Amino acid sequence: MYGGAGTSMSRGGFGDALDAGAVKLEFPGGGHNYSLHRLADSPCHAACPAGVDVKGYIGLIAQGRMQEAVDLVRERCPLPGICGRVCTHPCELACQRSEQDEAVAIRLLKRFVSDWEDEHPSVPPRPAPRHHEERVAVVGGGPAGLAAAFDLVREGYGVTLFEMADEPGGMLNQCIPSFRLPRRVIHKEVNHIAQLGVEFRTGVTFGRDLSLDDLHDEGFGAVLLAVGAQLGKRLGVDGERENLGVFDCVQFLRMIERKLPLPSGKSLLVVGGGMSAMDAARTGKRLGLKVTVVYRRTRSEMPAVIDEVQDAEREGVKFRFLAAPTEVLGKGGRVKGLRCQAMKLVAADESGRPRPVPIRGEFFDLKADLIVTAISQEADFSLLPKGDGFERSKWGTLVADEDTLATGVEGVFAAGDLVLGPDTVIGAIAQGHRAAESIHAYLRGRPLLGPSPPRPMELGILPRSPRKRLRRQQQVLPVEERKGFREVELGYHEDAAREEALRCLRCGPCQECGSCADECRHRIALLRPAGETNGHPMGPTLVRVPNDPEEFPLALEPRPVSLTWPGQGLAAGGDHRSEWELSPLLCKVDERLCRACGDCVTACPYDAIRIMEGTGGGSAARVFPEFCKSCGSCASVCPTGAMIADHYGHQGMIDEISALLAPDPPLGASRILLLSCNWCFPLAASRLDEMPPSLRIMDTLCTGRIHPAFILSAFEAGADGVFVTGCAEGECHYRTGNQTFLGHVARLQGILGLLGVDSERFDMRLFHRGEIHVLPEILGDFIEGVRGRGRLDLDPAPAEQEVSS
Amino acid sequence: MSLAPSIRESRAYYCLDCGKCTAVCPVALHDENFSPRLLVYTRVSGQADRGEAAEKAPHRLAQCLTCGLCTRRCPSDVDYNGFARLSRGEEFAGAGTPFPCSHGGALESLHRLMARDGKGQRRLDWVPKGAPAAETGDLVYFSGCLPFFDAYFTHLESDSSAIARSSLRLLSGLGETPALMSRERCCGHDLYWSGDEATAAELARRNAESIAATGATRLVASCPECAHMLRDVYPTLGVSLDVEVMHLSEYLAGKLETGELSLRPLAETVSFHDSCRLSRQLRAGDAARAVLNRIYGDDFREFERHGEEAPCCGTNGWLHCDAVSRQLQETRLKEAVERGAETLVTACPKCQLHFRCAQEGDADDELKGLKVRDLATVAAEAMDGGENPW
Repeated sequence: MYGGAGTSMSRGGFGDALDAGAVKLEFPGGGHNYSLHRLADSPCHAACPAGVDVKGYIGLIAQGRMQEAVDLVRERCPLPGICGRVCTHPCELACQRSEQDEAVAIRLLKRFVSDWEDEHPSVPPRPAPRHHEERVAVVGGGPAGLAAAFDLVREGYGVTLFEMADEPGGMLNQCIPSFRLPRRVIHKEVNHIAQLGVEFRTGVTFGRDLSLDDLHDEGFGAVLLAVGAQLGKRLGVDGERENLGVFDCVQFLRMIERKLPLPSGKSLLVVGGGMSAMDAARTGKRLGLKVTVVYRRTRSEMPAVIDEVQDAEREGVKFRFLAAPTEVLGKGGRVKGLRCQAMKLVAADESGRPRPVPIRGEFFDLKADLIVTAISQEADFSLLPKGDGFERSKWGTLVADEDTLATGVEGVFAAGDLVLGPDTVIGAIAQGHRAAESIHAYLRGRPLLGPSPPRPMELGILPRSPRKRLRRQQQVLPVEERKGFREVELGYHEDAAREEALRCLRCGPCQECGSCADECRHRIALLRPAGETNGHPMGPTLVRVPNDPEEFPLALEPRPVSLTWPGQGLAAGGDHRSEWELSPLLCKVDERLCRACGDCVTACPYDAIRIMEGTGGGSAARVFPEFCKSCGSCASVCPTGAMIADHYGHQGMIDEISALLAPDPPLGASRILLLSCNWCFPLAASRLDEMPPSLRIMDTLCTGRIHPAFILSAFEAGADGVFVTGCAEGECHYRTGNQTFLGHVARLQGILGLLGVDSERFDMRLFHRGEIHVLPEILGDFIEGVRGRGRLDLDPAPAEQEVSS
Repeated sequence: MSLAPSIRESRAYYCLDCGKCTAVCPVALHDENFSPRLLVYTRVSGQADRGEAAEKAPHRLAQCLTCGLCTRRCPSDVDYNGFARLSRGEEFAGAGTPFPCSHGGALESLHRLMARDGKGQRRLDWVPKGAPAAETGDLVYFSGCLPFFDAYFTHLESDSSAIARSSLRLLSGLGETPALMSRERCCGHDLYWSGDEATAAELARRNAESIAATGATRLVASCPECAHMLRDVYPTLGVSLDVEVMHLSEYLAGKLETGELSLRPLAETVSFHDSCRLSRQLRAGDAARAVLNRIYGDDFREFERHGEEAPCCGTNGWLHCDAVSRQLQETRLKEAVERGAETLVTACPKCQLHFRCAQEGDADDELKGLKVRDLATVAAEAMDGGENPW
């Protein structure tokens, strides 16, 4: 019987065939589709416009699994090095750690893995296999276009990206100064996308060198316009056009980027409070100018990220708040200053910020040789196709359907700043993803997407009192060395990154690390039905995937399913399919044994158990399957054995422990049992090579499942020591299963102490997320401690021993 | 024809299927599918019991409390206890933990571990500093598993060690300097009754060694299961002890008779629950009553079913527990409340824990309000007025 016991360590089996998200289970008759899913998003994940698995890659960083981390970032953000430097990181604003001390430095962690990848080059990506005939033209090589091209080429389309400049990157190249974003980073990430098979045609300006008809004639099935919002808005005040020395932000930064000469002068006024204003101001400082930022509200209303504002200040940029330009002052056709209306703040406006209103009659003049307006940008409609279907919004953007990003012209979609107006890089990437999905649906003849449903978000249980620990500071270029355009931020070293990653509280129930793929290799998969079962919405369900299909899985009510997974990585190619039986892992009640004491009700982390009238008339516990996650906490506290943890049955676990401990350890080694919760188990198992041969490791699903009898039976079976690993307080994947286990620990320590078993022989460690990389070391110490105590002398007495009476 | 020992030794073949056993069986009272004679019928006929699937047979075998009420009543002199015990041994031979034991078999595991050589238990940690205790002496006190219960039943706030400390107070108050054995083992009761006779015998041999090493001629146990094992069962396992084995109540009753023990009255209304081993196996129910009558006088309210007629507390050792167990416990607690008792006294630490368990959770408040104490604790309080000498 397979279902009798927990999974002990075994290797091989399914191997690489299974991929996270790729497993489908189908009941005959079209019953139910199961697919690998994560649970709800953590707040950082939900906050990311592009849907980057933030918590997942942070966990991987903490474990030192850097390549996996950067791969995971790239799933939803094809520009990790860029976002790692310039992202406005809404994730950090959502980070729950800020409630305790300070948000996790998510952006810098992303940057770190990108840097790590530079230093540890792996095999370049291979061209994505082509699955579809159709080709897609992406116009504009900014983040929106790059993200869409990345998604579409991976979906199997032919993709050609047209870029006006010599290098793709759009505003990244032109408007973000290189001291924030070195050009090699853009180059590397564009190159990665090119290696996937995207064709780049640079130096082609849409609307001048290329028209929609040209694209149609060339056979593109769909077109994505992502040309950005390139025209900086003007102040619209007197003197602005008459005097030389007023630039919009895009012009100004582009001139610097192209090393074009500016009119001479010593002082610069930058109008605006956003990121572009900070970029312009800090660039001005690097040109040796005296720079003042003029903003009509105050510091706390500035849209720019606080780090940027602080950096600008450190570099000597001055600020003039509550000032609204009313006239550019000039002399002889040259800018000499700016007249400003003094403002004051009143109640909040629609944007949620306090509204600035003029103070009647109060004006003042600021001296300046140069003025840069960084107040907003709009699309350059002179280059867009004329006619029906291309409508200009009142904000100077192109009108496209909010959900589908379709323009009024069939097969033409639009994304990025062109639609949004000047927005963030991550916002543009999100639009690129959306456009790619839409184009895919369009080309496959499927209905276009509706509004995106809100992503479920779950906080899980936060640790009650985490130690206060502020974020790690990165290395930065000293202010006195910030003369040229050398990069200011220098990022984290590996140790610092791992330390910072450990600050993550792991909100939400799932680590989202994608290591369920690994778990599949260790015969465990997290499955969730796409539909309903028996009228109940079923919760996510753990299913163990066996090495031998014949075995899988013996459940009380087996149902046939097919398991389909893609043939990727297998020579044969194509999908693989095999027939299975599946039943959800659920805890059950043997009503004959239930004394309705309610201990299980108290222990259940999911409120899935109630004492109700049993089938025999008396009271008995009843498990509600739609809530039960089969963690087994109920079974470990049940005094009578009435609660049955399916697939992790009591006697089966004990039998398995005995079987694991039966073989003799190597000469001189101890016999050590490691009981590991299912979430630590694959990670622990993956480090098995580093573990000593005396170790026997067994999966218990959750530490909450561990009945004190398991530990005692291990000592009965000859263990010299027993070690338990699980998730740290507040981080248990089964909410409070670890608390249930902790309840047993004192009990066990008491019993073992009385028995004369040295305290060194039973220990446990509940790991914070990602911290399990220290397991080999801790286990090493434990094993050493056990060895120091010698063999546990609890051998059965010789049978022939008689006591004379 | 060779009969299985369970049938041969228990004389189960005498069973007339008359049903008198069922009439007195506390389990059958609450579970209509259970009856002692059905167990016998199933085993003797080799057929699964009537109307129930064969897979339930082991469960049925586990349900028997071995309380002995049926044995007492049987007109054919069938030893149902022996039948259940031997059947379990035959049914689960070599299976380690038989049937779904309560507490996951942790306590049985603990008992088996005690049957092995160890580096030395720390089982005397309960002994208060300054208490008179020795390694040898004329009288040895057998504490059994009391300290282990405190470690395990933390959720019941078990204070079983108080029974041991009270026993020590009583013994020293009577001028004894009891020998205490750091190498004492579990008496083997639960393993013996679960059918694991071999391990029980191993425990018996080891205890015999330790007891012999004290040089004692008298042994007092505060747990009636221990006293029953040491006195009645060990000899059948080939282990004889050269000591007079007494349950604490027997020892105290003896001292009352000689006038050596004086007990002050305690103002409290109590009932007394006879444990199976105390009153049916050891037949020491009267001794306990002698002590209680002295302490409580008219405030001692006897149950209607008492002495050798008393029902089991619902669980035999830690072998098996279910809904029937709880019903039996609740019924007993209710009877005590109905008699106006503020305290239910038992003379068995396991009965005490079982009752406490039944007072947990959603039990009625009036049942929760009832105190459950051991005879040793109340007797010690009556002797020294609750002033702890150490």
